[in-house]
Amino acid sequence: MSETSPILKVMQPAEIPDAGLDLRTEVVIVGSGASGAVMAYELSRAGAKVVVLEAGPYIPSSEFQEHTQTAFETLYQDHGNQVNTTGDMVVLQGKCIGGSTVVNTAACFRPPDQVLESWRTEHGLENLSPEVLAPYFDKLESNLSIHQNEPHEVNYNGRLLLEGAKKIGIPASPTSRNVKNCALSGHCLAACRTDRKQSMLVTYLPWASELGATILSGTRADTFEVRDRRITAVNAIATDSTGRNKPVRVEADLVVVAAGPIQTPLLFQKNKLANSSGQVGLNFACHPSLAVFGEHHGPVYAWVGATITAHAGEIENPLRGGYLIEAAMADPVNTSAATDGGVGRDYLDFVANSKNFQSAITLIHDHNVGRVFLEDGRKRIEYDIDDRDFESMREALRGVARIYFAAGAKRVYLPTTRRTTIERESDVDSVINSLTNGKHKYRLASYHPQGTMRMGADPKRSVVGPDGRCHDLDNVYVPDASLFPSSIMVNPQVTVYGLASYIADQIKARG
Amino acid sequence: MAHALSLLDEPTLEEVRVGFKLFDYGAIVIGLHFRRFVNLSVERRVAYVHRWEKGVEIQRGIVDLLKKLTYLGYWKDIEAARAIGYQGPVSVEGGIPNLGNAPMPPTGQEP
Repeated sequence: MSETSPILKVMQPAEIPDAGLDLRTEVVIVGSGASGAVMAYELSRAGAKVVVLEAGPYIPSSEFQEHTQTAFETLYQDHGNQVNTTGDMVVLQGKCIGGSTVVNTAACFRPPDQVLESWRTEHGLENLSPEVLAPYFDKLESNLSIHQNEPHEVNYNGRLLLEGAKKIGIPASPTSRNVKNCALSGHCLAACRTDRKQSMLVTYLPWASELGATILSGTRADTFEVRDRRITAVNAIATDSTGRNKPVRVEADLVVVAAGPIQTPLLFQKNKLANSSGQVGLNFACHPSLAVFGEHHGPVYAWVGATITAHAGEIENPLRGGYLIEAAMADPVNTSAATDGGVGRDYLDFVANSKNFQSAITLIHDHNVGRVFLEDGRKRIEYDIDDRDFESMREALRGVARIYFAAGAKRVYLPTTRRTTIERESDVDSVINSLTNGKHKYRLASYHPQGTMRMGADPKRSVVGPDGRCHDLDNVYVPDASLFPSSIMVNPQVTVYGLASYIADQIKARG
Repeated sequence: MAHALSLLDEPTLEEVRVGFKLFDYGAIVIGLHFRRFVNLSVERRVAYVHRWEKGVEIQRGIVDLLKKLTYLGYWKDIEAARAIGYQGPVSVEGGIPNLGNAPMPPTGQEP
């Protein structure tokens, strides 16, 4: 295929007349990320006429530059500057055709059975058992070329994690990814230049388009028209490159809001809809992540190869304080953003040694203590580390530090805002135990927002029912990660794909 | 750093402006240096940064943001990163072909 040939038919704002567009369709989908794309394909395949509205731009892979800052500026929400209200945790989300699937690490996990069981017992989701969902995951894993990393896909950084974890008895294995013939460029977070990552940009969206779906980029859903418990039309604003706004109105029989766990609740809050439970925007969780570096005597080159290669931890036991450690790519930008290398000469020495760094990130099963809301029209993500979760974070840090020393590291850099190191294995407990919870003490990042449109059987305690339909609205579905009743600890893309596929089936069954 | 700041929304940018002014002028009174941060010697600047790292919440937040923006600005130049061994972009230079879209799955998939 030629580098310049169009690979996805997208209507961009420049193509929309100044007077705007007025469309009539059977299904309108807000958002083109993991869940929106799956819904677009599944419903198009079932014969429905589908329109997809995406707020972000369409950027074909031939324009990806394998440059982290450029990717932040062009492909991420708020140009990579989306943070919690405190300002000490960046919340990274894709904002482009394909959403976060374009810029994620490609790591794939099914949700732990323990989590699905807690959704059944605590939220009445009898339908989401591992047995019911397994065929959906099987199908997605086939469609997206999901496979466990083969030996050549596990770089030295990953092998060090596997070796260190084995020595101290922590379960570990190569990670699965949705990648086909990976070029091992190490640029997943800057988007895959050669379309080997099987993101929505090269899979479900072009498939939906081929089946007749219309996809609009740069078009932000804004208001809903409502009549008799039904959204009858979505009003959106398309903004072209000159800043000119053009109105887009889409009248539809069925509305799917798949804008992600931050934008989806904000849209419902703005429209004062679906909130008889008072839960819209609440229960925000995000797998707060920390990056840890272990300095070795020789080069590790953690930035060479696949972005996520291997993982360690008790991932089947999230409810018992489990954690997940992922061997992760770390380029100079990520290394500098994730831990404090000092200032002046100290910083220069730190980065000069960074090729010798073993690199991993930690994920925890955090509690749903945050909320997303509008304040004077401004988006707010209120989330600080809960003391219970801080204990899980310390446990994860202990695990990483021990793995690093077992793998031969001579020093461990902790993800604090003031340079903190562990110089020997025997100091791990004392240093980690001295860490205290607090604002602006750690370099936090979240790649996995979730939970703000909680799914559950009880309309008084949840926003969305077990079939994905809003309790308060008869023709409105939410399939994105905002419906997770609790955090899942593992990378969520497979869970989102699976739930979206399941919800699409519920819609089809309803007729 | 100016480019990174230009990408912030106006309310956030205003908060950052206030924070950085507090940091800069804070050296006069809080730091007891009787000079703005930008006019201190390198040694005193480093010592001042370290004091803010150990300060109250707002001080930690401001100095951490300042450091992160500095890093982002510095590493924007890929040649700086190459100087420490980082490879930078590889696909075009390496002639790695683009695979394009995946083929649509066959009909009749279950479920």
